[in-house]
Amino acid sequence: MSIKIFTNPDFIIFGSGILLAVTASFLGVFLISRKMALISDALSHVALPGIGIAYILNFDIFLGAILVLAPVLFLLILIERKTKLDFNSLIGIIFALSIAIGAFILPNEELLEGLFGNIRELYIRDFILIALFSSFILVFLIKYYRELMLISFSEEWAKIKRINIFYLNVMFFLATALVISLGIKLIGALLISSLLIIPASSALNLAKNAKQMIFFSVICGALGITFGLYFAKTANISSFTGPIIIISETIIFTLTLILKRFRKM
Amino acid sequence: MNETLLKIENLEISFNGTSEPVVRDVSFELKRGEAIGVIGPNGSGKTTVLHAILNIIPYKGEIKFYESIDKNDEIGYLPQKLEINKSIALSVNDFLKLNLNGKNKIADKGGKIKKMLEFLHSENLLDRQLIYLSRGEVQRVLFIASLLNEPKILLLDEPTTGADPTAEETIYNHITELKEKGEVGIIFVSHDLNIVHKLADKVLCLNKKMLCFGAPREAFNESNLIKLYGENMKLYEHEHKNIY
Repeated sequence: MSIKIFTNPDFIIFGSGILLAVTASFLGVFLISRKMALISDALSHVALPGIGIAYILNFDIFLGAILVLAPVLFLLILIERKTKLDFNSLIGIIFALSIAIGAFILPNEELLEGLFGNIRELYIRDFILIALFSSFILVFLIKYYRELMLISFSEEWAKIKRINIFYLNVMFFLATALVISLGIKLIGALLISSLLIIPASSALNLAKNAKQMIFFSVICGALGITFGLYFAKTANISSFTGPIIIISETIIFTLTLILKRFRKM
Repeated sequence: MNETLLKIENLEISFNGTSEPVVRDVSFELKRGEAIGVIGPNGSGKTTVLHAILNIIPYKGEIKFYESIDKNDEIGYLPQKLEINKSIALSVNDFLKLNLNGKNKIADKGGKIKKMLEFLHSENLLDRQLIYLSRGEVQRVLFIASLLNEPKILLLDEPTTGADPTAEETIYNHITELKEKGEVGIIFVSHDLNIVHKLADKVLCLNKKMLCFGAPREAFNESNLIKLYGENMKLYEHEHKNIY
């Protein structure tokens, strides 16, 4: 029985979903604090050529995505450091190029899967990968909580406090790239960034301090994905799982917005 | 008392791509219990010198910290203005806790943050969110943050920018107290020559290069001020009976 539960497709889907949502929404707190919401959105599309390569060479799309995302990100950080070009413009260029290459090498059906996810492709191997990397990312976020918070508050202040911003940026973007790559099968490259952005934005509506911000973000993320997955399953529309998750995250965001206005009155 | 904390010799700073240094020929010493006031027009390099001392920009010349300064000791720094991200739910308490270093984290069991806030008449700020504070309130919080780890050197860049007169008085009274205790050496930048005259033991005049360094009475002469601020600068003398 103990082994059977791990191979149960529902366990794999719900387990992967909740783990990924918790990690993404924790990471998302730092992303939106640093005004990088749109950057993460653009970055997720950089995974597309990787998915294409994985499809052509017949290996796992997680691996394909991270193998393209990680070096591209590292290159972007280096170019920004050396040329002082705006990170946003750089990402804008790479974003368009990635979609173009992705559309060029991926057949239509696979392109759609890459963009919106396909939970029927989620196996025990994916669950193990998600569990493993989520743990790494959560340990990183907890260990460097102080430094990441101070950078999120103000890079200038973090510099004064002698925090190694370059090293932490590299690690932070690597963690973001990992979350994006891990989420492609579940929710798709087009939608995965919402898992990073929406829960943290909901939390910002409710939180009065840093601990609450993280707590509410994780709770909103986990609730949103649970409702989304549950609804997609009971309504028997698993091919729309990704979009339904995003709709349920957005409903939670709207509720927090109403709650915020209510509290102000 | 009077022990040297910091010695700067022939400091020269250039920014990328410019051959002309933005600051040159700066040499001075900071002693424990001493306050040095830095004056000069906008763009004269006052903040740049502070950044060099903090070692966050490259420089030529020597900035030597004396043995009494531990490598892990922090230099307290209050920037003139700080860009703060607005999408973060950080309370004043959160922020100040994040600024405590190792040994002080344990010490905060005694409520150091609360005490500091009370001391600067800011206890009402503890649970407020930083992004909703006024500029003057943020400045007070940053001032507390710069003092939290009991630095031996304190660099203050126009410490009362945006502060209302009461906050300004609180901050300057606290600086005076710190000076009188004799435990820290302070370098502060100010445009307010009255404040500099009142607080500084020594004055450093800066306009791309060091134009004077010495006691306020020597530094505040007409020729130095004209060199700093131009011909339109006039000095009106009036008597202060209890200036020190």
